[in-house]
Amino acid sequence: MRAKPVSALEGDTFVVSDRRGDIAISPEEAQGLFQGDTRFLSRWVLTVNGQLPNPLSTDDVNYFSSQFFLVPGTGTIYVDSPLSIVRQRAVGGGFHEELKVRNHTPKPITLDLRIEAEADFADLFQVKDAEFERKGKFYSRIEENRLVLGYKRDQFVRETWITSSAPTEIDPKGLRFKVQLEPHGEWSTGLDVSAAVDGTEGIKTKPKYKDINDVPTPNIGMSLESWMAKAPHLRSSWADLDRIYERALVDLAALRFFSRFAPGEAIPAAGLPWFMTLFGRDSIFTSFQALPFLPELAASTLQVLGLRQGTRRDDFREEEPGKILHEVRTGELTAFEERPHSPYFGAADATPLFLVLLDEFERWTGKGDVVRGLEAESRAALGWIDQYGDRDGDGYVEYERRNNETGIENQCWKDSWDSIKFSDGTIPPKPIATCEIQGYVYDAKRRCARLARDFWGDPETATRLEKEAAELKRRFNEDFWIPERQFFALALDGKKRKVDSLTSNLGHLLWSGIVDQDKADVCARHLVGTGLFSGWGIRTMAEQEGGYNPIGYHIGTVWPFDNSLIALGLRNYGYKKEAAQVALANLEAARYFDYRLPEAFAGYARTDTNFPVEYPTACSPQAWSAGAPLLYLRTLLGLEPVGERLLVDPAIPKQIEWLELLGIPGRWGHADAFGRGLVDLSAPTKAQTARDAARPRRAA
Amino acid sequence: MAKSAKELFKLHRLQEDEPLLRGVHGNYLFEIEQAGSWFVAVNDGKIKVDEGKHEADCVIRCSEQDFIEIVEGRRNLLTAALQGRVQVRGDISLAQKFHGLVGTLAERERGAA
Repeated sequence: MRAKPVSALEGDTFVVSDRRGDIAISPEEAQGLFQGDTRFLSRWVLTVNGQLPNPLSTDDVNYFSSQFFLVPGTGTIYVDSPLSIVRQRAVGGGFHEELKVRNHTPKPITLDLRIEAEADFADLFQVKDAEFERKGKFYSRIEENRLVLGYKRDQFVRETWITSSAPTEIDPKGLRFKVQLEPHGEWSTGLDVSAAVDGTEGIKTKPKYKDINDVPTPNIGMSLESWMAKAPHLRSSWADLDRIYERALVDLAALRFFSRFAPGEAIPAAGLPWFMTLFGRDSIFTSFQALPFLPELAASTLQVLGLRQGTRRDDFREEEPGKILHEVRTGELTAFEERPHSPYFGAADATPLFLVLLDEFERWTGKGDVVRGLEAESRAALGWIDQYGDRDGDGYVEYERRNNETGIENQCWKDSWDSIKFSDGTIPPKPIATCEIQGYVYDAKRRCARLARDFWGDPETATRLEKEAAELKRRFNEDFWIPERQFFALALDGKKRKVDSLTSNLGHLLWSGIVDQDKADVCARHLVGTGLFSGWGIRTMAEQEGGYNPIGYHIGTVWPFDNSLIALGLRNYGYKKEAAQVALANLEAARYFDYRLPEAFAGYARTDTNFPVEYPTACSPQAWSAGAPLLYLRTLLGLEPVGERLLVDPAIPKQIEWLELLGIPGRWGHADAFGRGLVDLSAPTKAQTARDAARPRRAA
Repeated sequence: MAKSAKELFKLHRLQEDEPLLRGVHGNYLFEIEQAGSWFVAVNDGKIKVDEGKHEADCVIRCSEQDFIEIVEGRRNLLTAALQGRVQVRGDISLAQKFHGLVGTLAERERGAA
């Protein structure tokens, strides 16, 4: 097994290196210095007298910095190393690296130190797909104490600037240092690597930090310390929960970044390494999860997404008037319209979710000015749902990509090509109306009715939206229900057939509130039944389905963000024990991932593996996975805004004896919540009791 | 289709009171290479265009051809900026409003056609 790479990030700048601190790309390793979806360093290798030093220890000092402790290879374990080497790196606008060498002997030592540097300026899409064809020209030049590596295609220019504070010989392939170390002496240099972007202003061309001990100042100007202090304070009987919570807050701070669309607003990027950019869906879900903790994330997400709402019909970008964007990229392929991410709008769920978040934001914060300020955007979003989202006028939002070359096939949260399958494993024809999107639309219309009545002074629209929501719910419960399998279809396909796999999407339906009460029991039972529930969480697809694969991206893995919404959905329908069961399982899994829930993990049963198995290419940290523990805390404590007050109704599993959350921000100012672990997960659940009651009794 | 930036600013399809720019407050300076500079003040949807340079919240600089293509909805402002064809300085959110505006105008024209 390969050693895990070491990552440090800030905003949309991040460095992925090996445990030496070296960057050395290979088909297996996507290492480099990345900024703005471009790799500004593809090689950064330190040698001492022509040899790679050996790593002793690596420390992620902070999310934006890391340290590497190295020794030259002596060739034998019986000889102590005469030297130690320390690399300390702080990321931001490129990176700053302190390179130190210490002589542990009483004799002087002469060394030949070299840093090899290359930049392939690959677009992140090319890195991900291992494509190496380039249309521009590479160049390098040596300026006074600076190595410039560059790439030019027409007027598109990207450069990497490398400087050293200590005297160095610069050549086009790197920097060489002739080091004379006195007995027990030390030598050091500061290396600055800047990602220089021409063509747009506001991009910093020098590293943000000059010392790895600098106080981290995330781009919104709030230090990590302030960020942590501002969040509610958690204490519990379960020390692991405290660690998971702290990890989640740090990761959310790390993943904040400034979009070039709205430089004043910090929004959550989706995840490291592939998704350090704005995603509509991810930012909305993350902001929703974080509302009781860090409501400013929702405010900025709504503003930024509203600002770049679709205004035109553009099939390449799948843009339509009123639609909320899916993903923004700024690399070369996007710049030259070889990819549609400027921005790309291929998501059918982000628009109703935008409206859901807007209402939820007001419920928690009482900031009606935001609702009033986004009235036009909200009305445009509602217009999109009916005019463009419902493509064939059947009353359901469906998707089929308009960009057949580079568009996404499945434009729901399970956006891999094979995520939507019949029970026999076959792929249905498009267009597809997934069930959870109908739930989101129902919820959005219901919520917007309140906003129209209370903030937009438009009772007629409110009444219309309420009627539409009620009618949608009635029809949905008929059209999507599969009586013979007793659950909702995953989707309706292009021929209006029910896609009959049992999936976690049921949980999103509970979260949205679209499920008729008399169908909720059986949905809850499925969600915590052995087909979907692995013991570590709810699988994306039940293991008895033909398409199931425990290591398939959306067809069997467990996604913490998915589970966190499902738990809240269960809770909202009164299934407190089932919600606690899901929350506890996922939180217990986090302990095996350094207290950080990854994007997804494998769906193997807990009874088979005893530990959650990693998904090979999962992003970590991932924003909506970092948000999952926060939503679990809301669910376990039963936190709900009711008017101007915060309702607390705990349902905590016995495994957590007690927990308290102090200083929950909201329209009430700050409130505290406390709960004791009284839920016995070993006793039959409400759903199980309902099942037993419904089961035909054998005649005596 | 406009043949020049001057013509575009003179005969612009922007109305003096543009509903799409309600809630927007700010000034643009368009520096069109070898064609001139235009200052556009937006105050809650009310628009005033002056030829010449003034200090502005958002400065957009590009060639005349690129400018015409952007306004006509044939070139994307973001990709033009990423390519280095357009330089945007100052308040990027105002630039986004401009991008959204030209998109809506293009859509409006498409609907009218």
